Amino acid sequence: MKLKTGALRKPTREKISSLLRRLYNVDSSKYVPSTLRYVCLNEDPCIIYGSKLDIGDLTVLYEDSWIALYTKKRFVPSISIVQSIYSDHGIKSAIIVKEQGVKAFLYGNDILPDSVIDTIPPIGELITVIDSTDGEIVGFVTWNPRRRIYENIFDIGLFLRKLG
Amino acid sequence: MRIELAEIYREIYVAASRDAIELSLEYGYLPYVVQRYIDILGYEGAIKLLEAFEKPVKPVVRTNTVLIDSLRLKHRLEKLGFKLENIPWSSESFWVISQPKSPTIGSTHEYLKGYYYVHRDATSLIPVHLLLHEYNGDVLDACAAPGGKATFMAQLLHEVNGVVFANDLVLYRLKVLISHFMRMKLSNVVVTWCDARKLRDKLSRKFQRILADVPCSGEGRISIDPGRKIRTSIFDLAVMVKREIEILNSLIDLLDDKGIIAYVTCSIAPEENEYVVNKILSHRNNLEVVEPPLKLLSYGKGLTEYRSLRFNPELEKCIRIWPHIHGLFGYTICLLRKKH
Ligand SMILES: C[S@@+](CC[C@H](N)C(=O)[O-])C[C@H]1O[C@@H](n2cnc3c(N)ncnc32)[C@H](O)[C@@H]1O
Repeated sequence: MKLKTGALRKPTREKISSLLRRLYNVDSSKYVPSTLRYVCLNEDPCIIYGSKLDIGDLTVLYEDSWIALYTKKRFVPSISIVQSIYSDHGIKSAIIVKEQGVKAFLYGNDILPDSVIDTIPPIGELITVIDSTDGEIVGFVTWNPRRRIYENIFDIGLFLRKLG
Repeated sequence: MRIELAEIYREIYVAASRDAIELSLEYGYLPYVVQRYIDILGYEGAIKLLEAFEKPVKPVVRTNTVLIDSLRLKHRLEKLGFKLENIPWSSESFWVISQPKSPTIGSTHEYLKGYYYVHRDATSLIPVHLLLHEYNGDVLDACAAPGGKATFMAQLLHEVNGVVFANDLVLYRLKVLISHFMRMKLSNVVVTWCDARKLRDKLSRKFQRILADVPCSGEGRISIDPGRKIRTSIFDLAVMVKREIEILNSLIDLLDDKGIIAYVTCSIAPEENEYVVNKILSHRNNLEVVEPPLKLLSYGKGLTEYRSLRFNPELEKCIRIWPHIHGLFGYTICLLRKKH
């Protein structure tokens, strides 16, 4: 297994912050800790997490909670962060998806417009997928106008498929 | 502490009797393995144990109480067709009595949303309950992957801001551990990659609670891993015992003066348990075994003698979980602390 780990550089941290600003129009400093680290166990995804503790000489691979993933060549914010933003500022850039659509999505599939019950604007470059059965966030998609489909960027099935 | 492999091998060597050879042929074991069961349990007891290893154990769903309460989770899983039964001594956990054809218990949406962890058996809940009883603080889990106990400890310590320092040596297993923490949204955690024997040189602090769930032969899990019946030769066992002694001995240096360390194996082998702890007690004469603070089951006692070996009487306070008595994996747990 290939391991890459280290401190996240400031410009890269800024990419995550500006993504949150663009998507949700929020002050990202409330949601993104000042010190971030990353770990890549094999190529994709890389996990970006907040670093708080100083624990001497040890190789730390993960800490606190994950802030973002780097997957399919783009950053995706963590579900917990988007949940906090939604509870502070209301839901934005999201689709609410039928049970069958969620099921297929959690196997890594894309989402057909037919599976979408509701769209919550403004729709940005990354769209949150909300499970209609319980209101939980289950991942993120982007809209592909040519294929007329919501393309899977990250879904929580990844915890089994790639990380499990 | 220097410990020679040859000495361990000599001390734990077992020659099999005719009875042991016959039983080992019948049940498909290495003869020495069965000889030890006869020595500890008698001939009839050994047969009961061998029979118990042929029976399946029930998997366990442990609610992630940080995200959902156990009744709501039970209700949601029952709606999917799972039949669950409460575990009387672990209020957040359920035995899975039967499952629908699909989904499996490890692939429901509820699982992916982080609402629970699946244990192969209920025994692994016991050391966590004992170690964290009435405790609010940080814990070192020195051999933590894939994370059954680390995720449980993190959820129990979540409210009181106790941090679980979860360490392991094997990267692909650490990946699974990290994935469980992420899936279950447990944030009071730190994951490190280190040989447990070197932690004392790298950490600049001590801990009030340490879990040493050491890499072992797995001789308590034969019901799900029948390969273990013939996998471990006496020499292999001696190699594991040496590593177990080294890990436990080095972790004690990280224990706070009033702290407790749980030495845990999913093994019923006296060589990996009482023998290991006895070596540590004789090497460091400032340690004692702590009585379990909770009586979750009617525990088996630790052994104070085995074949020609005599152990410190303190070891009686260790806990043995036996497949033929408790219907669970075989497990051994010893809680240790410094004498005052
Ligand atoms: C019995 S398992 C731990 C199970 C874990 N505590 C749980 O509840 O899920 C033992 C672990 O020790 C790890 N290990 C093996 N040698 C080690 C060493 N020298 N230092 C630290 N961990 C080690 C293995 O990778 C394995 O994950």
